[in-house]
Amino acid sequence: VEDKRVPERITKQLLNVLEILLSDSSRRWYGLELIEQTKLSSGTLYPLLCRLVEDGWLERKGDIASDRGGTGRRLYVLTGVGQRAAIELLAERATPRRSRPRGTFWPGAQPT
Amino acid sequence: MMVVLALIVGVLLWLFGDAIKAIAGGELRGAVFDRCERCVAHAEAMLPQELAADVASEWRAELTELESRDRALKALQFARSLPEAARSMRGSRASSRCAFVRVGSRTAGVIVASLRAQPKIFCVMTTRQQLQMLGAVVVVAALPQIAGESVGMSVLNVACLACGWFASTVQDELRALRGKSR
Repeated sequence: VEDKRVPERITKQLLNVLEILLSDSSRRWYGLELIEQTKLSSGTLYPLLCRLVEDGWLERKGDIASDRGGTGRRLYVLTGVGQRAAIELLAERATPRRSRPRGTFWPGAQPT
Repeated sequence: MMVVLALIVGVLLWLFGDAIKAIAGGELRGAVFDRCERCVAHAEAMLPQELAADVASEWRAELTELESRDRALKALQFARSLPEAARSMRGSRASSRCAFVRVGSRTAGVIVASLRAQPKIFCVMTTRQQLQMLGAVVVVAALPQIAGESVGMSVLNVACLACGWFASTVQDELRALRGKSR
């Protein structure tokens, strides 16, 4: 069974980041590129990326130059789990709120 | 007289304008990137120890990239938010290091956000009913460390009392739980 951890807060910013990452899911993104694309501040983006990495949705790698002791820049790419979860989450966002059962946000969550 | 002076200044600017701009621009650029470095150092000091070196080196590399593209203003914007990022990452780490029980996958964003900012926190996110089922365990095992807050929508958040956080609205809940345990 795949361990799909859900970030504790599903925010608009999180969804924006996932949308950008998903727009080219095989691409590796620098933090700076994500800042430019999402218009988020570094203060918002990096904690988000950190949480997504910890939850296994993102993989964080050194770029080629940093592997050789070069720039030290890091690249972020969606994992398989992250891709599937992001697709679900963005589809959920696209669903009009009224048509969702009351109390559910995450697909599969128990209504309370 | 004024016309002559203006002419002289004009000629001097024409001759040395580039040099003056380079010197003034270079100084300013240097000052901006010094400021950026101070922001990174400040943020680095706030990061969790296990992340500090790696994350700070990433931030420095991004700043170097901006410097190479001559984007001083962007770099300053980037750097000034880093302490905020570090604070948030530290808060999030502190909560995930603690004993951590999660029931179901529901969240209550606002309260969790405030909990995350506290050190030594763990949260139990669950429905009221689930918490009451869990209540016996919680009460027996760790009641002195537990406080909870009703946030509506039948979601309860429970946080570690070691951090001093205690919501008055919860005291009745806790009293009820204590009563049950006796």
